[in-house]
Amino acid sequence: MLFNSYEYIFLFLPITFGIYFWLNKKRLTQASKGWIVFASLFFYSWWNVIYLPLILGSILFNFAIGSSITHINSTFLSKKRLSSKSILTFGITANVLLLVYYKYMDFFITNANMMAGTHWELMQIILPLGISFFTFTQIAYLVDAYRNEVKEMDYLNYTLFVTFFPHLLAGPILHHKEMMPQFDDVRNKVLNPKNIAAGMYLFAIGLFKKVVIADTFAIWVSYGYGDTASLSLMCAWATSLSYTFQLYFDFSGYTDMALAVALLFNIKLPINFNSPYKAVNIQDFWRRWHMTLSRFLRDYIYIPLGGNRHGELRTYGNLFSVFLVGGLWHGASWMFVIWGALHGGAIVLHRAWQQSGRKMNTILAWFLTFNFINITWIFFRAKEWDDAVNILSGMVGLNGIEEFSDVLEFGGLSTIELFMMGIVLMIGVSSFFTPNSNQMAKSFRLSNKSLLFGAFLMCMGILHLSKISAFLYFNF
Amino acid sequence: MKPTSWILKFLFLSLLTLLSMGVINFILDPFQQYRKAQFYKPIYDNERYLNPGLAKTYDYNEVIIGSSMTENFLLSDTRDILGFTKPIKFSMSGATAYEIKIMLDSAYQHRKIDSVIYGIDLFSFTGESTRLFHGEGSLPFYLYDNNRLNDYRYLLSFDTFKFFVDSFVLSKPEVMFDFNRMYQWQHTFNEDDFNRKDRIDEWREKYGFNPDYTKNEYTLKAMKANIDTNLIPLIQHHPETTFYLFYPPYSILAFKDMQNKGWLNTVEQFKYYLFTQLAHYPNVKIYDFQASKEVTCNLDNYKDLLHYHQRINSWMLGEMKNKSYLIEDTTELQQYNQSLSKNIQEFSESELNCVKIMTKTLSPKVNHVI
Repeated sequence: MLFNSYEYIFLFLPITFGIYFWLNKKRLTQASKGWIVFASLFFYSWWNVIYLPLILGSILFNFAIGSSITHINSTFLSKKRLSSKSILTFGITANVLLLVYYKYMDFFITNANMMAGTHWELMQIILPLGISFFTFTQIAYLVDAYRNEVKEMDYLNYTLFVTFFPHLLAGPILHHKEMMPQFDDVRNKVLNPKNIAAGMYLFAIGLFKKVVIADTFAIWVSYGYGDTASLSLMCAWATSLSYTFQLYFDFSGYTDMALAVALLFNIKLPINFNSPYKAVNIQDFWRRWHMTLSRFLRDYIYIPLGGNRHGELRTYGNLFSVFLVGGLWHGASWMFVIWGALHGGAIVLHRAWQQSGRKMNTILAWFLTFNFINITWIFFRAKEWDDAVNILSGMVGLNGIEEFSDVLEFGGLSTIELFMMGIVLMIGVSSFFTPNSNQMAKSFRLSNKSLLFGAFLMCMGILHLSKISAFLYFNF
Repeated sequence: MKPTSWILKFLFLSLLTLLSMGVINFILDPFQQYRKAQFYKPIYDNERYLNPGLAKTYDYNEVIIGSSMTENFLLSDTRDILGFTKPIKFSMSGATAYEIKIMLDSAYQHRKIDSVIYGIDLFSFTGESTRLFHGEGSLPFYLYDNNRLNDYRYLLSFDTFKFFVDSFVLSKPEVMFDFNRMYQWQHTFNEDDFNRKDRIDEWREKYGFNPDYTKNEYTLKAMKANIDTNLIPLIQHHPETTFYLFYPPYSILAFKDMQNKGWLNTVEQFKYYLFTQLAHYPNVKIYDFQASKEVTCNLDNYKDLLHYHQRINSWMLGEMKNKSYLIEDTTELQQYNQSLSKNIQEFSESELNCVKIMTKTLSPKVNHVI
C-alpha cells in the first residue's frame, strides 16, 4: 500500500489507529502490539502476498540469530561453544545473500553473460517490496546485539520493530533503540491530541510534496529522459533540474508522511532529510540527504573497514568503497555504481581540500555542490550511459540552443499544466532558503494559520491522488 | 487553540473542501459521465476517459473503434457511404485489443449496437491479453463500470477540474469540438508531411518506428490469445451486430520491415487463425487492405511508416461497400497474403516505378475528400 492512496488515507490508517488506541484503552497492550504487527503485514501484502513468507522468514531468522548472540554474550566465556562473532558473521552473510539473490542476481547474470559470452537465462525475479530496507535494518540490529547495545527476547516486539508500517517500505532505517522503548512507554499508549495535530500537519505537507510537487516535476522528467538525444540547452537543464527536485520532494515527502503517521501513534522516528540542497559541500550533503542511510553506511561499513584510523590513504579508500556500496544499494545497475563512484570521488576530493586547510566562499561552495549533485543525479536516473551523456551534452549546449518558446512546449504541457509547473518550480527554488518540513513541524503552532495552511495542503494532496493520465505520444 | 479543536476543525474544513470540489466536478462533468454536455460545447479529447461517458450519455447505433488507424474516419462518411444512421467513434490511440473489448463491453451495457467498424491493428493484438497501452493504471476502469461508488476518483480529482478549464476556458483548435471529426489527428499535420521522400529517409534512418519483433509479445501464441479472449467473445455474444473487421494498410515499408525481421510469417498465420475462427459467424466481414498495392506502395499517403492520410479512411469505407478486399474464403486469404509479399518484392526491386504508377492512379480519386 502506498501512503499516497485513498485506501491508505481513508481506510487503513483510521482503522489501524482507532483499534490500536481502543485496545490500549482496554489495557490490552500485547494485543495492541499484535494488532499493529497484523496491520503492518496486511499493509505489506496489499499488492502481492507472495513475499509475505519471505519477510516473515527473514524476521524469524534474524530474531533467532540476534537472540543467540545476546544469549552467548551473557554466558560465561568458558561455556561458549560458538563465538558470538561467528554467529554474527553467519547472520550478516545470510542477509546479504538474500539481498543479492533477490536484487542483484539478474544483474550478475547479465554481466557474466556479457563478459564470458555465456547464455544463462535471466531469472526474472521480482524485487520484494522494501527488501533493501528491512535487510539493512536487521543487519544493524544484529551488529547492535553483538555490541551488547540491544537486547530483545520478545518475538512480537522484534516483529513490531521490523514491520511497523510507517518505516517498512522506504525507511527511515531504524535502530531498535530508537523505537521500541517508545512503544513500551505507558505514556505513549494514550491518545495525544498535540501529536495528532502535529502529525496531521506534517502528513499534509508530505502528501503535498509527493503528489503535487514531485509528481508535477515528473512530467518533464519522463519526457526529457524519454528522448534524451533531442534535448537542447534549456530543455536539458529543465530535465535534469526537474529530476533533482522530483527526487527530493518525492522521497522527503514520503519520509514526512512516515514520520507524521508514526507521530499519530506517539512514536518519534529519526529525521531523514534536512534541506540537502542547502549543503555547502558534499560531506554536508550526505549529512542532510537520506540521513539514516548515511548513518548506517558509516556505522556498519565505514567504521568496520577501519574508518580514518589507518592513515590518510586508507581513509580515502574506505570512503570510496562505502560510496560504491551505497551506490549499488540503490539498485542493480552500473549507473548506480557510477553515481556512487562520482560521489565517493567527490568526498575524497573534499576531504583532501579540507586537509589542505583552504577555505571557499560559501555561496560559491553551495553553487558547486548543488551543481555537482544535479549532474550526478543524471547518472542516477539515466537507464543507459548514452542517455546521461546526451543530457550532459545538451546542458553544455552541444545539441544547440532553442528559443524560449520551445521550452514552453517542452513536455507537451497544456496551459494550465504549464502554470502548475511554474508554481512548483518556484516552490523548488524557494527550498534553497525556506525552512524544510521538519522545521515547519517543529515550529508548528495550533493557530488558524496552521489550520488553513494544513487543510489546504491536505485537500490539494487528496485531490491529486487520482490523475488523468496525459499521454504525450498519441501516434499509434 | 486547543489541539482537539484544531483537529476537528482541520477534518471539517478538509472534508468540506473535498465535498465542494466533488460537487463542482459533478456539475462540470467534462467527461460527460452523468449527462450530455449542456452549458458548454464539448471537446473530443482524452479518449480513454471520454469514451465511457459518451457510451452512457450519447445516442448511437453504430460504433467505430480501433487505434489511431481509425481516428481519422469521418462520421459523415460512414453515413454517406455505408448508410449508418447514428455513428459514434470510440477510437483510442494505441488501443490494445483488451482496451477495445473493455470499451465495447461498456457500450453494450447501455445501447443496442447495429454495426461495429473495428480496425484490426496488428500491434493491438500483441502482448498480454490484458495489456494496457500506457501501462498499469492507465485505463480508468472506474468510469467503465456501472458502479457510481467508485466515481470518487473522477469527482475528487483536481485533474478533472483542470481538464475542464483547459479544454473549455482556454482555446483549442475548433476541429477538436467537431463531433463529426472526433479524435482525428489529420489536422495536426501538414499536407506535405505526407510524402515519399521523408518515408524513404525514415526507412533508411529507422527513427520512430523500429519494433523488436523477436520479443515475446510478438509471438503467434500471444496474438492468438488476444483473438481468443478479446475478439471472439464480442462477436459470439452479439449476433445482432455486424462487425466490419479490417486490416489497416500500413505503408509497404512497414511490411518490408516485418519481412526483414521475420515477423511477416507470424502475421500471415495470425490472419489465417483469425479468419478460420471467425468465418463461420454470419455477423462478421473481414477486409484485408494490407494487400492493396495502390495504397501501401504510394508513400505519399503516409506521415510515417504506419499512418496513412485521412483520404485512405474514406477510401476504405468505399471499398467496404464495394466488398473489394473482403476475404471470402481461405483461398482468397492466401491470395491476399501472396500479393502483399509480391508487393514488397516488387517495391524493393524498383521503388521508384512503383511509386510513380500509384501516384497517377490514386491521386485524382482521393483529392475530393479533403
